[in-house]
Amino acid sequence: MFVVSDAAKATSETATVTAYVTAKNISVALTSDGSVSFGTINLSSHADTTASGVNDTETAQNDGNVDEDFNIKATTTTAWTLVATPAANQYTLQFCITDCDGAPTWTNVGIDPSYATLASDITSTSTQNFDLRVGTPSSSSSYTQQTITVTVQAAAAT
Amino acid sequence: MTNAYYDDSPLSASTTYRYRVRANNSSGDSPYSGENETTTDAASIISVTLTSDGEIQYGLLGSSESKTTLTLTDTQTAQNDGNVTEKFNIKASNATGGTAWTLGDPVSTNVFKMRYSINGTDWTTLTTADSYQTLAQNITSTSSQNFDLELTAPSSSSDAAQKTITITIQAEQQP
Repeated sequence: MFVVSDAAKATSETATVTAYVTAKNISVALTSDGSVSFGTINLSSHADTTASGVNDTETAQNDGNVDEDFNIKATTTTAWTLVATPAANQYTLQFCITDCDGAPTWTNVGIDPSYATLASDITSTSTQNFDLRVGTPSSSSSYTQQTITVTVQAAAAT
Repeated sequence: MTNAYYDDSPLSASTTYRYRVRANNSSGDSPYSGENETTTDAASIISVTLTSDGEIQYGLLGSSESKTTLTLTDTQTAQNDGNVTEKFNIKASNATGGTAWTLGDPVSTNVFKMRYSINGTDWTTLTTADSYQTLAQNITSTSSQNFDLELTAPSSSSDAAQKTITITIQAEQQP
């Protein structure tokens, strides 16, 4: 009688699946210089960044990888409070995104900490121009330079 | 004389061998016996292939967001193309590309989670990178096994570089 054992055999074999994933990135950057000098303005007056104003249109870019909504807000200064309608020691800040050098439509920015919608559905790498208009108080207890911080926020498009 | 044996090795699979024997004592050698033949079994072939495309595009995922191949309609299929019943095992690598993500549970900064399911309902977490876990058992020759994969993104990522994860299906002979 002859007994024959198994021949040599493989012990395992593999196959692979490759998966790809990317983290969503919400990001905004200013491609303009991010600084606006309105200069000296009379009380109860306006100054803006349009071509007929100080000609300093700002540009925000979606440098994330998903569609974004841009929101905007501004702060109270050391002497002036940001409000919807100018009054004593109270100022306004507005933005425009459409036909700003022709027939602009001005909208109040959000009063910190609240945001107002600046633009919607900005695709990745796209930019949004916007102009700003400041409205000075009817009277002021300070005649020193006032600094306003304007914040543009990106959020995932809804 | 009983229990005489001859160990003939190594042998080739699916090959016929013929043997004859003769006795020997102090008077000399006997004539050879008639031939007896035997054929070795076919070699065990252990093999697995993916009959699906072997590629999953999870796309963009937000913080701690999960996505499965069910929602992507990209269920994967592994087939036993060997000739023995097999057990399938599965493992996943860490995610490479930019700042690496580590496989883990729960998700945290740069730590992602991956689970698998063979019925779309019951999910098992791959707990450690590059460590096999049982995917399915008793897969007969030519049979296939569908499986889905769920990926949960880290709670935060150091970058937005595309990550690549290698999922390996291993076949071994069913014990």
